[in-house]
Amino acid sequence: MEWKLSRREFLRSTGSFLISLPLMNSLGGRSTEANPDEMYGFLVDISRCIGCGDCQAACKIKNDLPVSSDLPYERNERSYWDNYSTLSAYTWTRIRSKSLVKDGKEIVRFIKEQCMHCIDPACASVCFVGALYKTPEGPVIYRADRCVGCRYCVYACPWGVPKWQWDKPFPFIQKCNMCYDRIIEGRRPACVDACKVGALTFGKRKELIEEAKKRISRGGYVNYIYGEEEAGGTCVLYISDVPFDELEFRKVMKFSYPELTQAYLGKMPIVIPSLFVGLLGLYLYSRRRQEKEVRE
Amino acid sequence: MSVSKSFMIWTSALILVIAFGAYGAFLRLTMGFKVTALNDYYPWGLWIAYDVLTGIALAAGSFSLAFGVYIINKKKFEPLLRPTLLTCLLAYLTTALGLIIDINQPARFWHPMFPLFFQPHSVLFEVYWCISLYIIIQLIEFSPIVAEKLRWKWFYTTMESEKVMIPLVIVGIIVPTLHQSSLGGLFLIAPDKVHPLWYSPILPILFYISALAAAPAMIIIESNISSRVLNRGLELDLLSSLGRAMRYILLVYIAIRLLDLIARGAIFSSGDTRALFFFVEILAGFVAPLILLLSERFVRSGKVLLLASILVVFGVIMNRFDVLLTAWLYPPPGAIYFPTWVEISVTGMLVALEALAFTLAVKYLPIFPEIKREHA
Ligand code: SF4
Ligand code: SF4
Ligand code: SF4
Repeated sequence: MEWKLSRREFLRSTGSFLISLPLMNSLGGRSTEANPDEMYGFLVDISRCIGCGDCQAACKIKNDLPVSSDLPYERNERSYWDNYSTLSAYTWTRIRSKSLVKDGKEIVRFIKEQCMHCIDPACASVCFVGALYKTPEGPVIYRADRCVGCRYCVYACPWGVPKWQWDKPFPFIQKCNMCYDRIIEGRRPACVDACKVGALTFGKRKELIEEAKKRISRGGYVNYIYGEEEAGGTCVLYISDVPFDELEFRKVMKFSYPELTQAYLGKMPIVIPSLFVGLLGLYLYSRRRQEKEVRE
Repeated sequence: MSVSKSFMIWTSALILVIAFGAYGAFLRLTMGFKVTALNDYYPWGLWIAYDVLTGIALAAGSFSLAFGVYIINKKKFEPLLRPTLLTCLLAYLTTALGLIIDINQPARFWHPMFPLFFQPHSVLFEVYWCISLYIIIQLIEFSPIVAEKLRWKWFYTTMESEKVMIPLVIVGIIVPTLHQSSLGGLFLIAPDKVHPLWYSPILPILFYISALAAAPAMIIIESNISSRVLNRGLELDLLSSLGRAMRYILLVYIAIRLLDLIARGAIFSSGDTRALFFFVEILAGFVAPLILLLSERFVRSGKVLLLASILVVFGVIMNRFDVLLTAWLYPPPGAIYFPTWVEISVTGMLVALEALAFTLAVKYLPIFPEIKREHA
């Protein structure tokens, strides 16, 4: 008798778990459903960049960032051309120089670094309060009022873009936000506006890829658009006249990183009820066996 | 009970360590992270590796024992329940305290609980919720002990009745199962920055099984300590059963770990100093204790059991440090992380707090049933 009653209880509780399943389906979903083609971004043409650093200065002015700070690493070991040796909480974009040899001649190339504004950003997917957020327009922005400061985003970004104000007692995360405020006003990002040689082109991602392909087909470029597939695609794209390997671009996976966690979290709707059913079943089974033993 | 001299020395020593760590925490909260070795290359350091990853992994004893006693009806383990529950609860509480010191905005520790901020697609969200829930569950599981002390008979009997206990135990197994594995899941997002000797899509499973292996090991170590300090007998018979359980868990863990390494071809990716850490971790921390436990004669020996347990705990600690720090490929060569004294003192404070709370609880609460206590 006891067993029968328990079985009914068992079924009832299993049922309630099954009902809650659809609610869990949202686990691990993409952060925005917006069409990547329509997202804003910019194209960096490395063959055109002269390394003047105007974009860097424009970004500092636009975002009220100090020109120098005492952050570690920021100014050590930089090469002759560099102003900053790395991105930091106070340097959201920087020009990195790379000397190399092309056709037997020594040359220098300049690479603008900033957030890549991934289509499916790892940083936003790991942020457990939604402080880092992929806007449908394309920019990945930071809502400081939510941030707890777990620094998981610093850990997770494939390019190591989010930086923290490590010199403050209660620091915030800082990174390029593609000048989101300007974009919703219909203006271009400050760094793009500042570029006088046309190395930066602002636009929708689809147009940027078309433009990149057009330039590549005219010749003088390596046939590769960095950012088209990196990390599942990014809104910032690069084309270059020297191979990206030689420019020491980070080699990242060509799929969206959040899929990796999604593959894990997506199993929860199966794992949780199975655990529940398994444990309850095991309990009832061993209790019944014990009762049998007692009777015998 | 009169306060003995050794008790005084012990508690004063702990209080000293706590005061020192509190000063470290004060420096962190006033000067910022300058006083730590953390930086943009090492966003997570000792506090995450030890206070969180290790602290939680070594606190799997409570739910594993609850599984043994309540679910598969191995009632002989019952005497171990209370001390284990106490140590695990304390481990979780100190982890929470450590996290609050570690995060950039301590006053916002509640943000992930605020419905408008919910982000269920983050593994950290799950970890946060499960740890918070599990602290509450453990407090409820612990409440009968306090009730017994206060002689609230009705409360005690309701709590210990099957209708309350079994659902509590089941939820109290599912929740830690989820976050023990999810702590491994945290690293899934960085496939190209975690060395292939450690990165694996099955990290959650590996974290879970190694925590399960640490559970009996911790219980054996704690029983040894408490039997020596409190002059109570050692439940060697029970501990040998735990040793046998540990043997199978280790076997499964090593098999899965090796198969995974072979399947990913990562076993050949060794070659730098990281491989050395890997081999020490695997051989000393998992293979050696397994070999010790294989022989039935050794499993019955208290000394060998203790040795094997210490090795397993060492292995699990080293594994967590390795996954977080040794395997971390992102920093440029030369940027090596080593914790500062502030970080070490805060971690020391957390351990000392745990030890102090345990000492006091054992003295004033009915934790070990067989010890005579003075009822004030
Ligand atoms: S580059 Fe990094 S910080 Fe920028 S959107 Fe992608 S993951 Fe986020
Ligand atoms: S540090 Fe802030 S922004 Fe980054 S993941 Fe944590 S809560 Fe989100
Ligand atoms: S888009 Fe705006 S925030 Fe980003 S680098 Fe350019 S100026 Fe700076």
